[in-house]
Amino acid sequence: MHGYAPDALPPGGAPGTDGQAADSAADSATPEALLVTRAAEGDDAAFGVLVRGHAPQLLALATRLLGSAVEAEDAVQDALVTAWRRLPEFRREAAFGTWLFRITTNRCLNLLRARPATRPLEAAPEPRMADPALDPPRAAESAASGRALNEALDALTADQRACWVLRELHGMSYEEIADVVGIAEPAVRGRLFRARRSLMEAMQAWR
Amino acid sequence: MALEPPPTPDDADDEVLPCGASLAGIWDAGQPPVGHGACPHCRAAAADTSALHELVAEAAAPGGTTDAARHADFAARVMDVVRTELRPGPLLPLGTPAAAVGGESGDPEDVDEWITEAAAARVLRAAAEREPGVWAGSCRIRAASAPARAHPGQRLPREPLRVRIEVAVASAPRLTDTAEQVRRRVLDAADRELGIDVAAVDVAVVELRDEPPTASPRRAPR
Repeated sequence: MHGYAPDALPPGGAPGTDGQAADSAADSATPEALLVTRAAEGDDAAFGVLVRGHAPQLLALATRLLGSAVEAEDAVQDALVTAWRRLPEFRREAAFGTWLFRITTNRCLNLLRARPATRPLEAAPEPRMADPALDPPRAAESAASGRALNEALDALTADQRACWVLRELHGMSYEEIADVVGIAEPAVRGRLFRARRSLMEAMQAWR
Repeated sequence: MALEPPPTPDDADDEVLPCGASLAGIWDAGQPPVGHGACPHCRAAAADTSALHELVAEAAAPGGTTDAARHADFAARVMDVVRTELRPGPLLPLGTPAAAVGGESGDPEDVDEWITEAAAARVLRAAAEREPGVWAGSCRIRAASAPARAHPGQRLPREPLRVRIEVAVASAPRLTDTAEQVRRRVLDAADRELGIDVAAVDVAVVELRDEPPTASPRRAPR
């Protein structure tokens, strides 16, 4: 049994002085479901823990969908702020992470669909960020294949690209992809097949 | 070549190889179907899949620590935006109204002190989590006499409050003891740290966790 020890409270426990201790209470050891509830009730510190936990995956997703790390950061920031606003209405039909994927994917799909069919040269996708000082040949190779892959992805429709990225880079099932992209499962299969066909054709040209 | 399958329209959802195997199936599985291991068509399709996977893996080579730093900066920027759109919830009466109450001409609300539900809930959750093996979730604070949900910015009546807090608890010998400790910590924090008048604290255990109830450093008193 743990004794109750009011003396162990932080010193000077007056309102307004306890902000730091209270902030530190929400951390990554807290079960995610509790963090989601807290964030829905307006606890921004709890939302901060969720953002830090999910941001890397969401940025990876958006970077592949949009082909640009800078555009991806804007898109994911918009998606996360949207999630913060909608959290009070989040009914947990899906896992929180899937819900964030859906909001982020929708944001990226809207951006992709708004793009002109052929992108101007200035807007060509950047190579992925890598530190060439660490491993120059590898970084160069990685940048080159990254560019080639992005170019091939740019030739896909927005839906094909989303289905392929979610399947190949995030290992999602058809059912999850259907949920995230908002189309039926057979449509996911069709888009995936066409995406792979285009990418394989493009790959023949690079090899 | 005569053996080539007929050209497939670009919008087809699959293609049947000359051997009868589904191309979509091979691309998905990354290997020939059962019984087609020696089929040249199937093997070629599987090889294409591997080559594409290799290229993708190469393109996605990890960026190392630069990524971690970038992600931390990014999360901080997102939270800067989020904090411009806080949801503080209703206002709870803070302390005693003192001289403000009873003034016949003045509006007592003009001189009263209030605290937002979100700020108070944060302090109460932190208090609950100082109990080892306890994680706090939902924390709602209502007027004890009118438990209906108040809307944001609404001032609750100047009367005792009722707190409902949800907790996850590491497996403990007696849950009722843990719930009672949480209740006492919340009551104590309401009184000593916030100065709000809490008449009752409902503790709901919403999750049992397997870990031992040790105090982690995050909850160590400072």
